Amino acid sequence: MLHRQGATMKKSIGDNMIPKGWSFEQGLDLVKKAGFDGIELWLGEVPWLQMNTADAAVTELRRKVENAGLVVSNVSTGLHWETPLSARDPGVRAQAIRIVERQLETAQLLGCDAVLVVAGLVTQEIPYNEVYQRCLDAMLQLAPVATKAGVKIGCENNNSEHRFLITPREFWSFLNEVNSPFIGIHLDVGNIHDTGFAEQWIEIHGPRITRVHLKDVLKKRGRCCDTVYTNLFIGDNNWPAIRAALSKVGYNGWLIAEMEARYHYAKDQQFYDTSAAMDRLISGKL
Amino acid sequence: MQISRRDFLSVTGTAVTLFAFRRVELIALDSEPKFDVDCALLDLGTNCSLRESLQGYQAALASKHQQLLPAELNALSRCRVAIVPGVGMIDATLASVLSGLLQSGSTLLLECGAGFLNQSEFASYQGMLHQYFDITIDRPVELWSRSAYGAPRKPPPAQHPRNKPDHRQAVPYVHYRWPSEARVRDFSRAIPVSAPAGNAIGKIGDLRVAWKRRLGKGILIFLGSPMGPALLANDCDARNWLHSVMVL
Repeated sequence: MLHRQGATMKKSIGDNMIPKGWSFEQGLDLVKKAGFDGIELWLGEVPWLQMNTADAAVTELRRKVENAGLVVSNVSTGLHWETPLSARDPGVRAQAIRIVERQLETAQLLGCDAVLVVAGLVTQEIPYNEVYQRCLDAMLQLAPVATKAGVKIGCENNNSEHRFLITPREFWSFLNEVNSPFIGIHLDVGNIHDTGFAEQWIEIHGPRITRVHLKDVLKKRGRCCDTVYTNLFIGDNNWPAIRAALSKVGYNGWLIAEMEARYHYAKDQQFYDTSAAMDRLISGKL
Repeated sequence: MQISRRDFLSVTGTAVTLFAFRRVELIALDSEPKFDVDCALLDLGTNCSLRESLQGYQAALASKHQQLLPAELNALSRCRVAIVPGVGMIDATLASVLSGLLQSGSTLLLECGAGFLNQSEFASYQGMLHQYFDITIDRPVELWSRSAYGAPRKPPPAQHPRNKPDHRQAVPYVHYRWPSEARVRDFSRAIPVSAPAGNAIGKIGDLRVAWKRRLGKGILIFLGSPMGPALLANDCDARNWLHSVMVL
């Protein structure tokens, strides 16, 4: 999973950012015009890609993406927040595994080589030790499937939201236990909040980073009543340090914008602004 | 009396040897195995609805158990302790074998895995337990709100987990009082249990979720809240509790 030196990082944005009421084609047109290279597809969060979307329809999505001059950067999902791999109910866990398998299948159909998985969810009800073991079991079960598919599973760091694998060393140990080149980390530089520093996560995980989610974060400003996420460069992330760390570890894969805070007006403008900000990040002129 | 060193050694040596043989014999008689197997861990295969529970017992018992399939258990005449983790479905054949173990003096730890069965499966399960073990179980009690799984991805402020009411105000433990005191995490859905004989050995608040009763020459321990996942998570109380069952 070593990253090739010298190539330029590419820009992508999630299709769940496409304004409500817009068609997939309209969204693709906007993504392309805004200057992105690819699009991230969210299984289960958009009408055009659901668990029951047939293979033929998925292939048709790929055709539309390519016709728009884009490629699919990766397949993500938020379905595991409601159907966690760490659930106590074996039936829910089986369904959660099926979601990942479907992600892997759609990734193959869409011609991309990475998926995002929310690995586990610690709650008051389900304690950490149980979650750890179940997630480990799930990844050990999924690793051969991912290997066969040639698609990497990136477990996303959701430090505060899923209260699991909160530190980079802990995440590293987890991946060591899984011990598969097809299971890595989908690193979200905004999710680290005030539990650490994105640039340190990048350095520690380097070659295991499958994809990078970009957003900015307002640290130490609470997270229960106001969103702490914001657009690039107006939060507290140290972007020069993040850029330097990406260079240091030789990351040249996809940068995927995940804007949690949405423009209330002129929603399409957020695509242009985000794309321009990502260009600045890639250029290193910060 | 004159006695040579050779004679002395010969006589005392023989005596020691005879005594030693007697000792061996006595020890052998004393420790004569009363059971074919000391601890049998029963793998019900697809009828074990919580495989992680089985793994938990495997981990906690380490080498101190023999893992068996139901058919193999049937072949045993006697077994001191039999543990059946995560029992999902139980048919007449299995119930009969387990009942037979109790009659012949075994301690049977029956861990219920019925919390996640559908309604008709649960009804059948209830019937089997009543018929073969004379215990009554009720529908699973949801101890936590489903929303406790967490929240939808990046929830809006009003729905953030921190803002959700705590649907489970009590301490999330099953309190076991026999054979040793233990506090072990509940498993989200608990099966209330009662019987005309015996007594509750584990409760969640006032809810009786573990029962002990004599049946035949044996002891039935029924767990309505699985212990195996806590064993797998290396919970000290759970492991100590299991140990206390093993030394009954």
